[in-house]
Amino acid sequence: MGDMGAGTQMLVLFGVLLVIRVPVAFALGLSALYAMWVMGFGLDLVGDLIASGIAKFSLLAVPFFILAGILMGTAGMADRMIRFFRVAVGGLPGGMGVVGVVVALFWGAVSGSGPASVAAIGPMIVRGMADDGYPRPFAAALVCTGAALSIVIPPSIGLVIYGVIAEISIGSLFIAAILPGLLMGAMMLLALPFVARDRAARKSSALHAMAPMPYADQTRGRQLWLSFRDAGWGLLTPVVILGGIYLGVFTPTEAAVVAVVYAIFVGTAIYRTLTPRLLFDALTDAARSSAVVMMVVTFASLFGWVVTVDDLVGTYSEGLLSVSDAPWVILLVMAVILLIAGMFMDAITIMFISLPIFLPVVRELQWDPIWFGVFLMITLAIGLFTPPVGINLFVAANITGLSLERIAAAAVPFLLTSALGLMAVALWPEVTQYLLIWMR
Amino acid sequence: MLKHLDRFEAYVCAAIFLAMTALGFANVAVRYLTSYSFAATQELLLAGFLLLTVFGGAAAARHGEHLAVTFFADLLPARAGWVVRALSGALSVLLLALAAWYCWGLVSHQYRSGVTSSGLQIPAWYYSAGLPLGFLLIALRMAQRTLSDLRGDGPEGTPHG
Amino acid sequence: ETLRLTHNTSDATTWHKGSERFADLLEEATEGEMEVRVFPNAELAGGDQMKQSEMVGRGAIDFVVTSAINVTPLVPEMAVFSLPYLYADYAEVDATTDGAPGERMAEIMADKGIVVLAWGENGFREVTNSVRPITSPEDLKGLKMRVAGPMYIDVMNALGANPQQMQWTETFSALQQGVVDGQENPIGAVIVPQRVYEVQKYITPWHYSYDPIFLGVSQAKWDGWDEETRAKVQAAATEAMAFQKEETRRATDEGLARLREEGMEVYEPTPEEIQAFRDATKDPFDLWAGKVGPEIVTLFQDTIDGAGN
Ligand code: NA
Ligand code: NA
Repeated sequence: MGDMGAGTQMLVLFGVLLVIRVPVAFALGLSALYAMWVMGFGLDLVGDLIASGIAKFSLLAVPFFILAGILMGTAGMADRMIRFFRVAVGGLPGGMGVVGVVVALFWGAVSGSGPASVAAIGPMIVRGMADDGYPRPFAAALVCTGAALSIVIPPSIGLVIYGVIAEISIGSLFIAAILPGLLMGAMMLLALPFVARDRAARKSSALHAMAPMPYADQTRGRQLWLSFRDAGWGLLTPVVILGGIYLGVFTPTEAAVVAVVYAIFVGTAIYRTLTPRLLFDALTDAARSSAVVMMVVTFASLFGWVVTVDDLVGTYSEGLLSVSDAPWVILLVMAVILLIAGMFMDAITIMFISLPIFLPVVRELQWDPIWFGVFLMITLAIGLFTPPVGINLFVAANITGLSLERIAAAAVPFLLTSALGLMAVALWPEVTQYLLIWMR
Repeated sequence: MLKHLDRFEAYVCAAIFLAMTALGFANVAVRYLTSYSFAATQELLLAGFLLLTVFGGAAAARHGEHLAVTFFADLLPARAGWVVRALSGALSVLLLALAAWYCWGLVSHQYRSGVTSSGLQIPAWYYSAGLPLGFLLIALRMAQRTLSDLRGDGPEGTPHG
Repeated sequence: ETLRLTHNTSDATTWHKGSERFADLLEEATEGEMEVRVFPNAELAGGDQMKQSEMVGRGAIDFVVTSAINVTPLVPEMAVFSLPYLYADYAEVDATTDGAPGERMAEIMADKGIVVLAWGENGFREVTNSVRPITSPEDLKGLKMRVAGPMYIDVMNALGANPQQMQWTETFSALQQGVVDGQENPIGAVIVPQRVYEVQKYITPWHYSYDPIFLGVSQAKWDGWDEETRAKVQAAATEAMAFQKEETRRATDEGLARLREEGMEVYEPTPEEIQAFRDATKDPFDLWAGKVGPEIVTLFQDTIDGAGN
């Protein structure tokens, strides 16, 4: 590896370590330490980098949304919510898959973090889709993709950080991202009937498949009403969380804490399903799941540090940017760089590394920085479910017990719909502007 | 002994997590209902987050939950597979021991320089002292898990891949 | 040789411009022998602005550009600059940074392994909010204020406000949604470039606290250079920070007009009103002057009193 740069050697070593089954978090750490040793710079910063990598305030919402998700599952709230959407939209072609996408979009308006959304809605969607005849890896892949939209649909921690780095309005970014987020969900829905054709009994024994399904003998209108009434406390969750954020009661991170307290309240005072034993199990399960994600984030911060210091993205992307004078080629090149970076790094690290290089180009070509922020967020969302480092995949594998590669392979159709969605936003920038214009 | 440690990690995680929830919620409720707020909430939540991550990381190591790409290793014949598992376990323990060592360096730097936290202004090493211990504990759990896998005790937690 | 410089703001700030200027000047003076790479956003420290100086102090990073407030966890004496209403204007500021107090602070930093080469400017911190114009301490009663550090918690408490510590990344949306009512920051360095005017209605340029920045080099690096090299580094640093300070003051002057254009209501307090704020913050001043050390505070005050008043 003698004539390779330290950063390139790190990439190679990382690949080798993954192949020999070293856990992803530790492979990131080992290859980064090796690169620091080769560079002769950075080893004495490792302690600091680990400490600041773990204690990232922007990620504090992750353990709380994971805990809230587990508690809502334990207390039966998410169950009832999913059952309501099952009654409402489960009869459409794609069955439980449609329910999964709709719930993911709904949950995206609650959560600002992709992996947290996987944890919150994943278990029940996967179970429901499996009952509906979908293979479990496919169901997990759908959840990973749908939950990735949590960083596109507001609130989004990623958009907040983009707004800060790019120095543009976060409020406008939030509004601009709503339609593209819904568009991405719509693409998934449109694809489902075709994908579902050979993957599931398209029109399965339908509503009865997912036991327990109450009110099965009622009329459809009554079914809708009764399941809505039943799911009321769960359906109220985004209202409580979004309402609290938009009315200025709490910040998006605090909203995650409120979601936990809300779930404990409903589980103990309303449904009376949450016992101290179940609460204890939820706390320890959530602590482990969150730690698995955070270990990756922690050691990815060492890895990202080497990428920054060795100017890896800079070296490669500046070379690529000089390829053409045509703006669309440059945008394509940027998308490819971001998608490749998204395979290896977390969204926040990618933004810090790439934006200093990309933003001057955005200004130079006079692109709308709000549109570019939304475009960026969609590519980063795709990165959440592309291997080898796809945090949504990790969480999904963690909660389903399926292997990472099986889920990733099953996600290929959604990778295609996401790429189409990304292209649509690239070719049709106005989709980020309609709501902003309408609100003025 | 280790059995008790298992429970110990779970209790620590549950206690920290509950305390974080209570503190975070109390801050929101008090700020909204009264006109007071607890200015250092963020600092304490981050300190809890740090401990939650290392203790949760140790519990996850014991359960074999740290995610790995097992696709290639599974293609190997049994004997080679055993060697690869031993190697990957040893490398993981090596990294965690290094992480503990470097975090120990951080703690002693902070102790010597007298640097204080930005909110409560207590010595910064109070918060980071959990890191070297935490990584040592994760290394211990990783070693324990690897050895029991290699002896063929069969996985106790959820296997991945 | 390639040297590394860390600072903790984005690449669009005067901090970054000053750092880049320093890199250019030094490269020019040494005919390309000394190259400085500038890392914004505290990238080298994993994004943690408080850690940069500690890293430079132990020789892990070569240069740092950061503000006094960011090093107070490491060097509590640096809080002296931001004591409430220590300074009334730029002339007083320059008298201290260019005089004996600046040298005294450099000595203290040297004990922590950092050689202060030159002082630059973050600016006077001004208060904004979305509830009402602030003309007197009474106007702050009950307002939820986002603050950056422990001294400001005490100052805001003394003024009757409710301080909340919060990361900057959370602050913008917290201001927008009304989770907190206001914040305090320099105009040229933060309020204009970070578009705080989008989410805040009122600003009072009350000059309640000053924040200088400095360009420092690790003692270990400095000791390893010969006299000639040190002179070149020093000259480049002095010129770059003078440029940075000029840029910041220009941005601040233009900033107030810009804020008016953007629809903010500017209330410029009279000397009597300023005195009311000064009186109301006497307790935190004394408390923090005690922490800084009376000898240092006296040195600053004597220099300020001698600054042509
Ligand atoms: Na969201
Ligand atoms: Na990825």
